[in-house]
Amino acid sequence: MKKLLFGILLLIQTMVVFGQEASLQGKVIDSKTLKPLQNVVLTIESTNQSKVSNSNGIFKFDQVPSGNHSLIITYTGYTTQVFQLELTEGELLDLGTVVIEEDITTEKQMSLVTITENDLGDDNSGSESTSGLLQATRDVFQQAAAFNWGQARFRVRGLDNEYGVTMINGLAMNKIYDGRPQWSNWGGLNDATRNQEFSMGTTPNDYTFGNILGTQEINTRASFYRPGNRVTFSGTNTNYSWRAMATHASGFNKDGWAYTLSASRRWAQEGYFQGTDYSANSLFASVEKKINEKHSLNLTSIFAQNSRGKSSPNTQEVTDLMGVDYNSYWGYQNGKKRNSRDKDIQEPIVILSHYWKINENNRLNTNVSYQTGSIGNTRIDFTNGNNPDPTYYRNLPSYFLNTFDNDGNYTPNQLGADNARNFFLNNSQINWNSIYIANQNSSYPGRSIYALYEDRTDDDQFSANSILTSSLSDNISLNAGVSFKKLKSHNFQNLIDLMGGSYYLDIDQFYVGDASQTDLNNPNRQVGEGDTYGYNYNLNATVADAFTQFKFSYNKVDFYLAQSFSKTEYQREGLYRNGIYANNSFGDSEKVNFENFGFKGGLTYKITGRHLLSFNGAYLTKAPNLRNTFSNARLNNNYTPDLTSENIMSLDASYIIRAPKLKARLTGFMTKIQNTREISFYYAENISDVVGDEDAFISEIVTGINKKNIGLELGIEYQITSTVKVNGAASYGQYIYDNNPNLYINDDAQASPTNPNPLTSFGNAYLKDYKQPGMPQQAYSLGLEYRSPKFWWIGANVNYLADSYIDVSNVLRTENFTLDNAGISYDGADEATVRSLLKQEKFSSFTLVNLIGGKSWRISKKNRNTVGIFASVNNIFDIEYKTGGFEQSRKATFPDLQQDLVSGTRTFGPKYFYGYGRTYFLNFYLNI
Amino acid sequence: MKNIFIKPIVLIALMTLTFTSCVKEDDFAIPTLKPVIFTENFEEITAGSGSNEIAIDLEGWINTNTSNTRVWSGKSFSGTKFAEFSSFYSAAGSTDDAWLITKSIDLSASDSKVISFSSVNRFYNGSVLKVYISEDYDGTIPGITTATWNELNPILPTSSAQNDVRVSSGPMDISSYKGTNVRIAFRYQGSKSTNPTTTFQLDDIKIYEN
Repeated sequence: MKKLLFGILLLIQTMVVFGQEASLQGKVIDSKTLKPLQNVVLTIESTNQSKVSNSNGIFKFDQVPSGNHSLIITYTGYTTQVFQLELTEGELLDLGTVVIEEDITTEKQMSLVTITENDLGDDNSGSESTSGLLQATRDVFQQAAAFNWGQARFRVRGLDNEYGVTMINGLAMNKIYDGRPQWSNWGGLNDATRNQEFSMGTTPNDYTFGNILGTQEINTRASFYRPGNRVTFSGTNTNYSWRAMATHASGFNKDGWAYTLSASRRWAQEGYFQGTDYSANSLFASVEKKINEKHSLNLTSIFAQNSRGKSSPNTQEVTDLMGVDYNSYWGYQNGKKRNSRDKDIQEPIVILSHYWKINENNRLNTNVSYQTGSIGNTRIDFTNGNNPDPTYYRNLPSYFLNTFDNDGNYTPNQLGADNARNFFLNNSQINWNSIYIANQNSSYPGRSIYALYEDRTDDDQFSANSILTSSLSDNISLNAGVSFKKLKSHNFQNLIDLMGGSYYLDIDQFYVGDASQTDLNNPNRQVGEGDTYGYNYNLNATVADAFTQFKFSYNKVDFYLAQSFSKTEYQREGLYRNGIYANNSFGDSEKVNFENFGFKGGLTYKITGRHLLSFNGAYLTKAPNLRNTFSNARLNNNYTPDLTSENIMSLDASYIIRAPKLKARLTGFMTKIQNTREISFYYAENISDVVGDEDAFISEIVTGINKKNIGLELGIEYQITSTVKVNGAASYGQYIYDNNPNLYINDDAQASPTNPNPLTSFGNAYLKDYKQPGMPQQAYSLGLEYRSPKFWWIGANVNYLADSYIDVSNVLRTENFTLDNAGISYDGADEATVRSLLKQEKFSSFTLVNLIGGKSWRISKKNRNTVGIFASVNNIFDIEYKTGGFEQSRKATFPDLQQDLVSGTRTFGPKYFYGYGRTYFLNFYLNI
Repeated sequence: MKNIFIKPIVLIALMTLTFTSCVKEDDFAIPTLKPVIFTENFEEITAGSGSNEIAIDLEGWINTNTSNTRVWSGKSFSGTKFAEFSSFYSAAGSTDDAWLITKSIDLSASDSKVISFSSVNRFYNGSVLKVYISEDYDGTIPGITTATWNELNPILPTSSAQNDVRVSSGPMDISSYKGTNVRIAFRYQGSKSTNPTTTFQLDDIKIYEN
């Protein structure tokens, strides 16, 4: 075998020698510091050979066919350069020193974070764009997706972030709980997370098998940062007002030490929406020690602490009364705005990395990491008191207008509605004062009626991985890796503020007797500030996976094949014995295991060096998220029904042009995600066959959902002159539900010792051909950019976004909606009426115009220090638009919904999220 | 040569793939409907009480007693109205054959349909009700004897233990009837002299697609 391989290698070698060969070398330096640049990628276009510069900036190609070639030089954050070369047979062409210059337009990455961190939604809705994933991309289409469309919640290929992988040093940062990365964990550290690689879709990535949306790898190795200091100060009117950030990178000293430090603070008394305060502090340190030529160790620590007030989605009724920037979550307390729904995140990460250059062809990178900390979402809890939410439905005019008596006669109360309108307009924010007074006047002295608590998730996660990169021959390379994750996630309710009382009684007011006890092991507890109450449990998860990937590179074709295998284990450990689920809430649940695999492959055919065709395909299975695994994890150990893995298929085909002036890519894609599941929690009426059962708090579990995403992506960039560039991007997609999945309702009120899993099947949810919500399915962008040789640039782009749909209520699409208890259609429920009631709301299309520009100056002739400014104005014309919304499920039957619609203003109408109007971002920076 | 062809083929293939597989705006699934073809809940009638009997008089319906004078009458209880008959109030020694026949119902449009109604017995002392369906009944009183009546087989209360309990009588499949002039007959047969005199209350007649 060895002999055969050697023989083949020799044969290839011989063939190559017979060709007409030349060689090429040079050294790359930075235009400002004049220092050598390491890891610059140099590619010979016609043969696709590529090399990376070493620590002295030097690169060398040994066997290049003689003739005319283009040499492309790319380096993250720098302008790409193309050299036209003529190589003579048998000769070495020495390019000498090649100077590349920093791309000042990459400053726009600084503004992106304001979009990705704008977490409007509650946990139930996933209105998050994919722009965080794409910030380092150089692809024209993806740049438009990130920078121009991100504010409108555009998602590449209609995919959620859980189908992408975000890694730091090869360790996936996606949370096991919901599969999404928690961007806040490194928010504000833009300079420290600047070294990024992005691989699109299922294209190969050196560190992981990945998923179908793409893989983002953030590298925090200290020696990879360009030595120097950078200080920035920014002002904006988005979710924060100010940002200060400082970064220092040392480069290697003579003892082989390198370190990078970064710190930032972002804050706002009030962000774009009312009552949204913001405070975030971030620290970063990375230290590398080069032990010898073969071994390096790097320690990265990231601490990002983020606290912000959330803003409410609102019904049309509330928006009509209060405007789009209204937020019902805050109220004045002692003259200051206090938000009742804060989100606090602090989950520091420590990563120890070992880089081992085994020999010229083999490298092994091993990382171990520990992350701990907490995420808290605050809310007001209350027992025997009125709902403090100013927009509670009984406070709004529509409640008095959509009323019927017991015989079904319409009985609007115009006077009541007028009174409610006046009262609401004068009491549209949370009245903290009345909450304190109510607590003082509690009929049980000292016992708070209202208390502020947080839903806490305290995660402890240990991760480790090892990645081998091996060059098997000139044409074949191997990537292989193993990784392991162990998570203990402690979830509980934490009492924060008794608001004037001296204790809170830990019972569930909707139940009586044993069922009202949250913990039968400690019944009727009086809890104080800092105490755990309500629910208390651990989720444990263990995930191990391995992958291999072979890449083959030849003159006309490149192709790759990769496979992965993973094992996942979940378990719940109840710390309270809940009164409703006395026998299946305390202690360990059964373990549930998933074994998953993936295969992918792809091929790039080079018609010429400038015209390429590329095809990628993948098939994989994916374990359900921890979030979707338990039917009501807060109260019991039950798993959701039909608990099996998702099946995911992805295919794409692209035509790519890489001419010196014209760069273009057209891609067609199809993705099928099958057997996925969703779980949501809400109050429902007429869902459990109990008439007027208004306070049934239920979990809705939809299983076996199939989704189909197809579409086209186009990106074109054309350099009109050396200073003027035009670019265009388009995304035309159709992202739909492809079947009628199964719907189950878990109603705690129906639980009993003999029915510990109170699950009712509602049959099919008729969702086929509904659109997937929360993102525009069509997006177009046209931009123009002028880049002056005198270090300033300006750009403008126009964007048209359309076909964004509401998140429909699933239970309204079951037979529970159309059929009465006898199984007959409700009166008036004919096809035309039902169709018009259930038609999915499509949001209006809109056009956003953005302006962007920057300038940098050299401070002195002696050194290369610069100062610069970057500015952008988004949505110049202050267009008001919806980024998403969801139907409420409360009126779940045909007659109930008809009654809610009677006055024209719904009591339980959909709630909407709105995009920012005109916003600006201004950034000053100093590089020394 | 090759290059000229590959590019357009790939482009056209991508475009067609995308645009042909598109779903139209109004193509979405909706939950199953079981539309009602015919319904009568007697809420529009005038109800009497006790011995004050007000005959059911609905447009197109036949309400007759082929062997006596009393017919089906409207009554109400607990907020709901219904049709009632009992031989208990008939003249001593008489026998009742009381027919309550619906108006003509068009069943031709639907392939699969069922009928249901609700039944309440009071003072049970024997079965009294039969239910028939006819496609050729002409709507006249003499026609009752000449029409073809096919008996249906509803679930009915069958003992005094079920007195005053609302029983759901159906659903019964009537898919095989596709006439445009179908009528349903509720026939009470009782006897003051020989029994039974069970009081029968009929409500919520529904024919719906299944």
